[in-house]
Amino acid sequence: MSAYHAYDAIVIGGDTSGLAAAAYLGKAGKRVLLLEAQDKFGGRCGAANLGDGFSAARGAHTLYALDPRVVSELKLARRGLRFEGRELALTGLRGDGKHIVIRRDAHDTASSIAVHSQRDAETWPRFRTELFDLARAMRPLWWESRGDLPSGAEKQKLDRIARMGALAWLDSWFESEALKATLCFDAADGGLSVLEPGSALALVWRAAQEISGLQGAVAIPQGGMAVLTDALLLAAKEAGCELRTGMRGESLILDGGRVAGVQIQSGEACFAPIVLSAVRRLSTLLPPAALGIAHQRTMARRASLLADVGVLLTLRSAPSFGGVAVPLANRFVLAEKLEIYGSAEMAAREGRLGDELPISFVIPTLSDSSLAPPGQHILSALVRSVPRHPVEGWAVLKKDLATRVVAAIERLAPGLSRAISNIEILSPDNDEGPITVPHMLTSGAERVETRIAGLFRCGANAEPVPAISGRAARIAAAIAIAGQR
Amino acid sequence: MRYDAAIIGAGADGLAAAAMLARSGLKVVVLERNEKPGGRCITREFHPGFHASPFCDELPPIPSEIFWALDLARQGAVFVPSPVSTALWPDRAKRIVAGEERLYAQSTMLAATALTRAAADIAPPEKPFFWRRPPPTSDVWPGEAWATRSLRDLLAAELADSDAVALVMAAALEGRAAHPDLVGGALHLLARPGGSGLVAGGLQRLTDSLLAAAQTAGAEILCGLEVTDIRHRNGKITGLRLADGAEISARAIISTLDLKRAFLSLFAWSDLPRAVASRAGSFRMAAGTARLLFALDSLPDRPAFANADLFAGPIHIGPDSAQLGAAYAAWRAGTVAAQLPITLRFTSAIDTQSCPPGAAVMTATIGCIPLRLFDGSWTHEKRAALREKVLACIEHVLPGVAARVRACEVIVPPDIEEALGCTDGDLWGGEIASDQMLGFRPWFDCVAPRAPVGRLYLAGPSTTAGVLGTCASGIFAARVLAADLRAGRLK
Repeated sequence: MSAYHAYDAIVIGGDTSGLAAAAYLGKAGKRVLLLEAQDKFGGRCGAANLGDGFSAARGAHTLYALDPRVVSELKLARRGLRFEGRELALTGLRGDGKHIVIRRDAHDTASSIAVHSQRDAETWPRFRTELFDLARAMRPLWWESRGDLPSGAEKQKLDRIARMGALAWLDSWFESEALKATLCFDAADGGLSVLEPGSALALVWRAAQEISGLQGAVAIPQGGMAVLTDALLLAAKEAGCELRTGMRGESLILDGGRVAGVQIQSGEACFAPIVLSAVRRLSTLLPPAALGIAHQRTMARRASLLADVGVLLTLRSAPSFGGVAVPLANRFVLAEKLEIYGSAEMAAREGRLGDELPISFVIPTLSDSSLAPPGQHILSALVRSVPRHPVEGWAVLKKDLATRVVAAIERLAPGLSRAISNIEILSPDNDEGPITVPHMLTSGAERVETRIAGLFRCGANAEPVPAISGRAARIAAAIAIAGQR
Repeated sequence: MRYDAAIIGAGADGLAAAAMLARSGLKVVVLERNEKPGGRCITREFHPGFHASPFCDELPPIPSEIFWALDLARQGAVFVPSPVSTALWPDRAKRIVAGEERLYAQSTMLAATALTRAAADIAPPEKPFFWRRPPPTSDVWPGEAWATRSLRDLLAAELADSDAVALVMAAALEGRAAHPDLVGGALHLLARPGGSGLVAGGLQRLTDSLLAAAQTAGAEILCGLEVTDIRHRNGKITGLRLADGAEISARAIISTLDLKRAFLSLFAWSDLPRAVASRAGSFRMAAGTARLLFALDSLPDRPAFANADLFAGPIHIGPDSAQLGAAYAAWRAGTVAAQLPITLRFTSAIDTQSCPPGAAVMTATIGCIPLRLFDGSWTHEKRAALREKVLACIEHVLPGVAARVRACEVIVPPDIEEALGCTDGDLWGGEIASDQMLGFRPWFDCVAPRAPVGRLYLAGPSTTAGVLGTCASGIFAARVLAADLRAGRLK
């Protein structure tokens, strides 16, 4: 290797994916430089001070896609990552108190479904088996760098499900609107409509994940999401990576068809034969001439009109759901009717907020009191189908959104608004265009590789469905290391 | 008396199948619920002196080999292709000449390829049946990309002019309920609602010539007889029971009904294999068509900016993709949108005999009209309100139409369901979606024409051939049935 390169590899972006990629490369004995534009690591998973003694990430509060192999290979458990709520039950909240609680135990779940439909309660175990079986058959494709599509009967099922919207798929199983509306929430991931092909596959993808040994589980890390960032940071540091904050990569330095390094905004240039990018819009770092016209077209995917928006409420006391016995340490979905998804989406496409919005929320402080002052709580909500380009502008929309979210939750938890001490609306992630079925059905290697030799994607956009996973980082690092050998 | 084949439904597919089977010397009977054959291919007098085809003006194209094999031209069915289609806004017009538009040509070619492929599955490949070109050998079906894209994406990538995008979008979604932004919507361009052009003398001419072809060959056509049950013993079909209690014995049956009617109303639910019943039950319909037939005193004035041949082809009223999206949202919610997707045809311009001299017949095909409104069924008042809304939309781009209206008939999805017996009034036999099209129609392990019930053959709009070409699905079913009979598989 020539002395010309200051590093063996550069990782752009210091979020969880970037840190994981750096740790893997460092572990393999590479000299790694990680560039983070902000002044701290972790991105949306980093610790943030929300004021008044609240300290929680400005972003998601649950983990469901973190690769168990990343946890073990980077020794994250030894570095502080523990799960508090090991599995959150999915609860569809309803005004009439007939909440649907979906847990691992099929019998318990069926009895909560039976309130709405006996037939659906009987169907549930079959549906779950089919979903989990197909999900396991999809793991090679989604977990490995060169995994194959399933074959035989599972292939047939996949062919069909990949072409279906989640709504149509659930319709073919269940009759209860309450159940379908609850399940649909997870399908509308990544800017997909529940009417569009791909959304049913997104449900399968969720079911293919594994957290602390449980397939399809959703968990809360003890000490907040910052613990994950800290553990990854520690892993990267111990692997000997050079980690630098406040360094915004401006453009990539190319040498023929190869990547040669990164130009930093401050004027500095760093050289390395391998660059891994965890930033969302990789194309912004590339000089236009580097991409063929055809490739530019594929990179400039259809702009997404819909966004998922996080809302953080800090509460002076725990909310209560109208005296109905619901364990609060659950993941809640507020979408009583199926038509909410359609109408919210259609409104969002026109740049308006729907009259009713699909909302899901967790209260992480119930399982982990370290995030808030004693007795106080954080409610972290995710709202689907918010217009990305609101006609009235973001300032108006944020205000409107806050009112709607509080009103929607308060309808089921009276007195909530009196307990609120602060509301924060998080801006949506950068637009990457909605995910597509072909993207979900390509192998890991194809998702991380780019047209430019030595340049790899390793962030959320290289996952089949964007999520905190570390899997793309693991695959990208492995391919980069193998390619150099 | 035992027939070799009984065909349910005397529409274009049923009659073509009957003609084909009778010609090969089989004893065939066609059973039609209505008093007259034809299904959607009929023409009637909707106002004294004014004739129109109530359910559609154009059909998907008839594969040319079927057209010539059945000798339809000599029997009087002459298709007049629309020379032009126009999108008309209050201030401008966009005109596309048929055959000039690459996307149209491409979609027609792809539809033909899809049909050829489907035919290749049932006929030996050395004897190509439709379009003498052999089926392409590549494993990926050429339209696969269309199934994974939205209509807007596809058009935006192919057409530079936004008016042209709006025009082609409106043409592909004519009379349908679909959103241009949803993935899979590009299939609507493949399975276009029209494309055949108008038949001189109205669609009744097509029925008449098919009827003549079938009867000449010796098929029996019985009208006014409704089939209520399919009789079967030991999983094999033995015949049909009619509404009047009579029974007809047949060795095989071709159903041209839509999937839901075929399985869920002709069989007792408990008689069907469980998988078949649940698949048929979860097959999605997407009814959204309303038709308005207008008798006009005279042709309206042509806007000065519009092309001279404006009235010779379909006119899409003020198409706009945002408006199509809003109309779809309204359809899902069970309401009628403020701005409706409307396509006008001045059929009397082609068919001068259809109305008194000087007068004109105008048909409006409207998409995104719900089967049931959120506030109840379609009443007389609601139909009148729809008529006024449509007229207001037309008046906006063609001033003076409202004053010329002598009479108007409003046809909404429940009327279509009642008249044609198609579930929910869906003229296309089920939603055009990526999991319900091509190799997945009617469902993935049921490849039409063979149904998963012995001796039953599927034709009609719920099969891929049924939405891609007129008569094609009937001919497919007839060929497979005849082959099975010859091979002794139906003993």
